[in-house]
Amino acid sequence: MNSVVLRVERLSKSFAGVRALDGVSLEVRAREVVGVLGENGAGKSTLLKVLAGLCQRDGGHIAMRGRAVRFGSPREAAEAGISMVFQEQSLVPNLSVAENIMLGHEGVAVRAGFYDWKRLHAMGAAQLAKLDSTLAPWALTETLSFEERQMVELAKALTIEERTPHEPLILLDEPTSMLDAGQAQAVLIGIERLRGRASVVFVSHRLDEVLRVCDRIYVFAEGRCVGQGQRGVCTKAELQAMMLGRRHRVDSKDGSPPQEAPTSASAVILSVRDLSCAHRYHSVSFDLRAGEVLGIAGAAGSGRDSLCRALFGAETPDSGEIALDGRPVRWREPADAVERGIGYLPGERSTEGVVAGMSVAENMTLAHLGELRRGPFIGLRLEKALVRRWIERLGIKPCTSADMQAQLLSGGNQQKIVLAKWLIARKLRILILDHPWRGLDVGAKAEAVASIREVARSGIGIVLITDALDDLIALSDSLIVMKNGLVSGRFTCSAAKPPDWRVLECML
Amino acid sequence: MHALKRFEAMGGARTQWTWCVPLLVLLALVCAVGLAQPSFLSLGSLGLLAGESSVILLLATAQTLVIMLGGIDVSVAAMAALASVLMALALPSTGWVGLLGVLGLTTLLGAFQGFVHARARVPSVVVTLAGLGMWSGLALMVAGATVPVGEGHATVSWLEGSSWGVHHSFAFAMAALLLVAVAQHWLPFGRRVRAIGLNPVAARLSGIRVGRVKVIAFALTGLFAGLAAMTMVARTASGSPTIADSLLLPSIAAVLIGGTAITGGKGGVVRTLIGALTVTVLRVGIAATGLNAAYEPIAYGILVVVAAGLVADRAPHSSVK
Amino acid sequence: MGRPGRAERHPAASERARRFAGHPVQWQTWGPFAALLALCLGFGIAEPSFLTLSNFWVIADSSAVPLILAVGMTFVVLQGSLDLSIEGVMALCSLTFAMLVLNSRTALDLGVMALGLAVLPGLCIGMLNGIVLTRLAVPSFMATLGAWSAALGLAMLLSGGQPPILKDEAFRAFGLGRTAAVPNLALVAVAVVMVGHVLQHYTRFGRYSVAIGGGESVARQSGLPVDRYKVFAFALCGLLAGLAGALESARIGLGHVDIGAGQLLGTVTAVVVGGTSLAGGRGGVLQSAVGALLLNVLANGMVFVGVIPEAQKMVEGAIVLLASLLATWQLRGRLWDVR
Repeated sequence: MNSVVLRVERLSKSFAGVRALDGVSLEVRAREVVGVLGENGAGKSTLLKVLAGLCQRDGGHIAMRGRAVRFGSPREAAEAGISMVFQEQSLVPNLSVAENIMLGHEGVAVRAGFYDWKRLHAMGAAQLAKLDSTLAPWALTETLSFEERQMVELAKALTIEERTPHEPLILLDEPTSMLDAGQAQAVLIGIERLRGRASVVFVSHRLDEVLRVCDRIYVFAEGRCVGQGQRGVCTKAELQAMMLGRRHRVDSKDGSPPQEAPTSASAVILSVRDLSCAHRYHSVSFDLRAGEVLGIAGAAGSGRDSLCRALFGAETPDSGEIALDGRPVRWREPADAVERGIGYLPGERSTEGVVAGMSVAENMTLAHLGELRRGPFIGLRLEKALVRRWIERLGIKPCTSADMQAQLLSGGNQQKIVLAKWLIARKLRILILDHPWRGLDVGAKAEAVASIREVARSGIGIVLITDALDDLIALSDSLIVMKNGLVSGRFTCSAAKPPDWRVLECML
Repeated sequence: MHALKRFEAMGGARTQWTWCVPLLVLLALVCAVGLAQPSFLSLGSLGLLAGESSVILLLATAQTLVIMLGGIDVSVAAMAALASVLMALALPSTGWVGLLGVLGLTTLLGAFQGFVHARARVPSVVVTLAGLGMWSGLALMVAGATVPVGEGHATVSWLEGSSWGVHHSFAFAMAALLLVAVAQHWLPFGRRVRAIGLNPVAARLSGIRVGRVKVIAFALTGLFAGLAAMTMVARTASGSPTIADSLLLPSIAAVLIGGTAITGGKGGVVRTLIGALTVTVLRVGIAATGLNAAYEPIAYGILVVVAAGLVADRAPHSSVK
Repeated sequence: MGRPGRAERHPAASERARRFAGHPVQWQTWGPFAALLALCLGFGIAEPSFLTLSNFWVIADSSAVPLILAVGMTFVVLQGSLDLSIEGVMALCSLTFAMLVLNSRTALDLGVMALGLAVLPGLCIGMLNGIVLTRLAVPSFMATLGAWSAALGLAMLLSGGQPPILKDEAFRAFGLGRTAAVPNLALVAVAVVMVGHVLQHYTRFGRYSVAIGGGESVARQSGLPVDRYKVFAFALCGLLAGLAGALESARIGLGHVDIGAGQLLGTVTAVVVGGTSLAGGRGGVLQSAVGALLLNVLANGMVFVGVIPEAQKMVEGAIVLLASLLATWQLRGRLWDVR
């Protein structure tokens, strides 16, 4: 058995009260590829960020090659031989491949500030050769395809070999998420090449790939390590079962009287036909009825985030039709959709949902100022009363916060503000929720779920995206699954809930 | 730590602080000039000062909105120069109608700049730099030199009068400023401007028509440039392509010294009043105390940088270019 | 979420790109260059006396200062910033130079050393611009706007209403004279352009500036000293603006506060028209040089064809607008926010 390169014990990390990592333990041995499998939000990215020195752990131990370490910065992690390939591409598009690979570490290729291009290209080619890649080192990075750029990222990560005396530990954060099966092949081959000279932690949600390339696999769920598997011993089904496991589920019933599932008699308020946007999603069609909750399941790269933004007018589809109440519409900007009664809770709450610097009241009324008008002016007294009413209704704490700056409230309360922003509209028809309880603690999440249920009961159609599959299945009246931009499955959940594994199958 | 948090919650410690500073600076300047030249502090002289400030005030008022959006308009002075020339030519024959026509034109020019900026995503500094060239070039083409206003002057000469010690042009500028202040605080437009300045992405995703708001803001700069031209034509009884050459920087300085943040979203037109008065005191003060007039642009330059630096939002996530 | 590279959508383009990508002069240069040739041809057909050698030297001479300014501005724009202070710096250094050589105001006569000293204020102001940008987080257009005003004020102080007249014969001869029929100033400009080109493609400063413009956060993440290179770029721009001011003084024979009037718009236009994107990361010294030549050919040709000089400013403004619209249209695939 190889020596242990990395040992992590009881690692924990919280963000704003939410446990992203909850006592995780694992180890990585020399020259092995360790897979970390799990759904979005399971804690995989956080683990990598702590290991790479991008954030500090709250508790637990990390030991590298037997010595306890604490990485205060990416540079310290790099000195220990840790190199990370991020999910968002970290290449400068208008530099050449060789420059990107050697960025910041050009060494002898740059003497006295002057570039020896031949040498730099040779160095780049040498790094690429480690992965058996034949990319031209002088090619401009932005002209490369996605998988070619991932190869460059791998080569860039591998340069750490020359900078530390140890064998490197390479962290890969979902390197194939944006690629289809064919494109991913090249990257997987590259990862296999890495094995000969480094240890690798390969984070992904794609079962097939993880099974193919990893020696050992850890399964994460909700910040904890819930299972382990060995190559050749573990089966896909076993891994799926581990991923789903026993977790904090949303109750299918919340104690309220059984709700009338919207029957096919409910009017179709939104219908989408063959909606396509190049490289994001293709030929998506579905109907949304009044009072119905439509869940969209899908992993990273499935195109569902883009789809929802297109429904709101934040992005423009290339072709296809969106119809509201049977009449086709075309949104040029979100304001068009808002006027017709559509609301959107963005995935990035702090940067896209809440305007930091404006008060709670101002944030709440931002989308529908027109409805508060007294003549040309904003009816301030009207606004105050409305805001106070909604603070009470949604339970925003502190309850005197109407004039407080919105960014000072907790994440859960900020989310309520964003929700209220749409609910105050007189004629809200459709609400699109993009990861509505991301980063919220259990209590805040329960409140958010209850609010959403209430909203649906009042006849508003809801489109829901969230990572936790259980929640999605429990809350949705109907479910569509997207994979690599196409609709890969449809389920109705009102009569009987579909089993998780079936949905997962369609997703991955 | 708790007390600080509570203080911050009341709108932010920084905002409180920056309210006082411009006012204090103004008072300090007035005292300084008064010490050097006691006659400066007489009521009559202060009244004159207010009148002096009206042009800068008008130019700076609309500029405030644009800066609150996060942009800048470097063509205001050029638009004012063009307007002055056109007014001087139009007044004798068409009187009020011509005047309004010119105002309408400058508003349109401003709207055009805003439109190009919003739709074609050209940075505001570049669009308005191009505008600066175009409008001052146009002014030069229309009238190579100063155009005196003959009989039409009566249409605007009322601006030069004074009632109860208050110079009419100052009252005029204050009235315009008040209208914009009302819009900023009590019209949805003002809220939207602030939202766009603070977080353009969230603003757009909240259903704000960012393009429309930008066009309106830039149209207002055009309108106010025209109003400033009116005041200048009234004062000098002429229009000239170079009449506003030295007014661009003081008007921007007025906005920044007042405490409006260059990063957008914070500040307002009332602050600009303080800034405009400060700038005028500086200008008059330098002349009154016999200092070399060259110190004016030096002072503006330093003040602009210091003021922008003090109020800039140094958020780690934003990269400043 | 990103998109597959152009290589996937247009295989032929990828092949072409591969052939040219590493080569310093990319095919995007050829567009404005072709426009330049077309313009020369057009004017030549309209007015044959335009296409004479003597006119060519006239154009070369009048392009010298714009070329030098464009090179300096290019590095700043490559990083995604803007330097509005060049007119003020030109004025300041023009006065400084005029007062350091044999002149009508001071008793100094520093000869060639004066040139070296005269560009120092430009260098310092440039460095200050960079420091204000990186330390105080003041956007470049605001910091340089202030610097423009302050520098102009300093120039006015030095001038004191009495512009110093140059009496140094050597410099005057240099400024007005030619070497083997080529105007001296044009030679200096060509040298500056060549040095600029080498800087951009063969030095860390140049390549990192491109990186900063193309992906500043990535550059920082990779450990590049971004702030340092930003200061460098502004310092270089200030230095070259100072050089331009001093040389222009040598040409016209006095130091004057208005020596740089109108150059800002012209320089920005040249940079944009040449194909250096204001968003940063694209274009370069050669491209800006082509842009500057284009504008000067246009100005020169317009005179031949009979367009009044007053219209020039207006035409320049319109050209900047059109050129930036075109540039935006080319980048239309990427959605971003502008201020």
